Amino acid sequence: MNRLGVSSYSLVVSVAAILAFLLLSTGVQASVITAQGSEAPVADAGDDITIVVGDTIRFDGTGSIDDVGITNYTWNFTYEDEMQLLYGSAPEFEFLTVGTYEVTLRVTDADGHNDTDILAVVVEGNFLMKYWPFLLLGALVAVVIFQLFRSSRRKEFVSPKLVARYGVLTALTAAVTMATFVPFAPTKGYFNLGDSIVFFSALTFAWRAGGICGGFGSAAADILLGSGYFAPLTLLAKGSEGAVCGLLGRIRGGHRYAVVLGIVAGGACMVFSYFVGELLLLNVGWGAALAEAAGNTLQVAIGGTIGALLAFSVKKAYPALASE
Amino acid sequence: MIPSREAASTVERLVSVQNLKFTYEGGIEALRGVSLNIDRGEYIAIVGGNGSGKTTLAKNFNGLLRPTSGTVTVKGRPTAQMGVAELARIIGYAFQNPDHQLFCSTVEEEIRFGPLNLGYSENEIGTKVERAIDAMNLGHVRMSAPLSLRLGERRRVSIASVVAMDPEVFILDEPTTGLDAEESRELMERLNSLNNDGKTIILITHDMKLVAEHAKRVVVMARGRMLLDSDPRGAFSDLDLIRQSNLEPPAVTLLSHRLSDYGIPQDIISPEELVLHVMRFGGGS
Amino acid sequence: MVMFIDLYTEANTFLHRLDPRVKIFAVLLLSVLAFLMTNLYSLLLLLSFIFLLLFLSRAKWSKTYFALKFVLRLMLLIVVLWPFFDRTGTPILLDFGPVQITEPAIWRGVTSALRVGCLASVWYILMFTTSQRDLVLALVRFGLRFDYGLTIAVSLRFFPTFVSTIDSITDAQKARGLVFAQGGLLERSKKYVAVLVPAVVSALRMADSLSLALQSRAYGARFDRTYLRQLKMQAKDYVALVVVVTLLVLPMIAKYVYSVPI
Repeated sequence: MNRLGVSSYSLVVSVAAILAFLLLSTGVQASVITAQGSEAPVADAGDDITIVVGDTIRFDGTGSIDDVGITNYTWNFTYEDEMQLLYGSAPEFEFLTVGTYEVTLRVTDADGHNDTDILAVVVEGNFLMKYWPFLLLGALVAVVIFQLFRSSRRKEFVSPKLVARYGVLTALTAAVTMATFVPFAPTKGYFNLGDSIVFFSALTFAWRAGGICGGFGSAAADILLGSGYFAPLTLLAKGSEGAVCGLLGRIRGGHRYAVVLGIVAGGACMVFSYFVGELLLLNVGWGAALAEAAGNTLQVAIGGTIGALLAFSVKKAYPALASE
Repeated sequence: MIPSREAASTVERLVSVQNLKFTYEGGIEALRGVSLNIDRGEYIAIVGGNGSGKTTLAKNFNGLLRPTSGTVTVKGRPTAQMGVAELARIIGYAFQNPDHQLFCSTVEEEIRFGPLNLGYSENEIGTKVERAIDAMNLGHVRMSAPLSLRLGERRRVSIASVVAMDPEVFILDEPTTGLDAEESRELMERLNSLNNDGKTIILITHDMKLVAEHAKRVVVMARGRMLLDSDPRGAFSDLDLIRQSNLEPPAVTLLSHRLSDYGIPQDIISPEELVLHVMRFGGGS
Repeated sequence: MVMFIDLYTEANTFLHRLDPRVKIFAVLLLSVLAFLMTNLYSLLLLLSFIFLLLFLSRAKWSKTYFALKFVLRLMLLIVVLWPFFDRTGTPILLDFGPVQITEPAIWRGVTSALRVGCLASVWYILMFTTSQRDLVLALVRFGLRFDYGLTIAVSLRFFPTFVSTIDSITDAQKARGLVFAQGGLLERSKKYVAVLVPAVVSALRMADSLSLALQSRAYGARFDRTYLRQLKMQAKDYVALVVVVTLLVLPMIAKYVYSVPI
């Protein structure tokens, strides 16, 4: 026996047993870890991106991390009504259609864990697509201005009767607008009865009076009320209202149905012009544009009724007008 | 001739104004403390130059304007508590420009408008309209378009439309402007007859001859204040005061002042009186 | 409610003294700028610049408020309704049935409203610092035909007259017992006829006498008439012109050439 009281044979066997145990247990640990797999990956599809239509976009999924390693990148989105699937950490895609696309990246690692991230791709129109309403209105305004400003070949002024009439009716349209305005959000900020004079001018003095006085008179009121930025659009909206009513409302000598037709058609021009103009030019958004359309329809209905009554009453009360 | 003013015993007080001040939006002080009373049956002329405040004062009577400070009471109630339409039953206002009122297709319709608004029954309206047409002698144009008539007739239509509302007080703003002598005379005759029927008449005018011939009481306004409130004779004899308010006394009065050295009294306000005095001077009876 | 017939206020600021043609041009360019900028902060900057100009032109607060209170309502309408119709972007703040409010949508609404505000205030400055006579003169100098210019001048001259006529008529009809604030929509419309018929007739009568007056003053005798008052561009006008053009061109270069996100 040695000093420990343990035989050397038992010592060797115990040490061997302990070593074997340690080895075996490590081996088990290792195999347990391998069987569970790595941690789940973290997907990163990159920042939201805005491009112009026609551009090619390069997706960037390289920010995704995984301890073991990502084996699969799948990009998935709906484009032109079809589901698109792209693979790889940085695939490319050409967007030919304007829109906002929600792109989902799914990464999978060697152990089958996965994660997703969402990316918004905004595809905007190119210059022409974005600005065509301005260019159109600009072209219209340019034509009007050209007509107004070129020195006429005629070398003859508009007759004094018409200068007086147009000047006065324009002033009256603006004055009535000013006298009857009520602050009210969904009609450019103020509700008014100026349309009655527009319709009156159109029905009594024909389309030129309606168009000129309606358009410029209402635009002037806009300017005077501080909403001058609306003036060009108002020129179009109320000008067309007056001109169309003047054309249609006087058929068959101003027959009742013609008057109604004129007012409805003119009113429609006004509401439509404002709606489209506000939506595309002023970019007020669908919500405000629709609210305005509703408000304007109400305004034009009331204004039209009064305008028709006016045309009728004035003709009766001031028969000297009947010679028009 | 001017009818003598009746002694007012226990006559009803229709309008009472106490220290009325009125300032327009924008800061213009149009009335700076005016006080006066108007009784039933009076025939008053409120005179003054432009900007004297006479129209502002009149508009305070029927509620078109409300006092900035001070009170205006009509038949005992403060106007601040009454609506214009309510006051229109008591106080009728015929505006200077009749064209600012006319809009109907016949004179009859036009005259109906007022009583219709006031809510009278069809029968009552019919009676009132007839009386108004008679009072203003418009029977021959009753179916004409008001706006196609002459100015004198248009003015009579506008006054008739006020008469039809049967108010107790009539305010008439420059009723004879633009009328020729004949039309003017006829109109004033009608107003006198209304006054004789017991209606209170308030004339706003700067035509001193008119005032001298018809009014029984004159209120002289200048720069927002009342300078004088007396009978016409008293008012016109004070030439300085009249001139101060940018007015010209009747020609007859001016002439009699010039002739004062010859013993002609200075309070002459009608040509007939002057003739009498001159004849006396000239050695007549 | 206080109402201003003429936004113009006489004052001696540099904006008032500029040639009206330069001012019209400047307002047009600034409007274009407002349309082309899409970034919230750039528009905010533009708005502050415009308000600085307003301050320099000694604009009275009461007039400014009157002129801008309508656009304020419109701006509010835009901001409130925009997110209901624009549902893109994250983070989503509210998801309730058909309603989906997202934060970026709110900011886009605000941006749009700011743009409208810029436009309104820049045009207001023009009206505030330029008399109507000068505006017509500018247009004529731009090449507007005399008879068209005269028609505009006629309107400008009669406009205050008609406003006061309508006032007077309204008073007169009120004194006949007409109550406006009562009755259904159709009834109220008929009441306005009582005001508008006299107004229209009065206006047409004035047109008649004006027509005679024009004829008796040799209107139309010569097409190439001369004018009493002339507009002359001075050094300060050219400087202002250059400044304004730069104000537009620089940001545009930044945006379209160098892709700066404004």
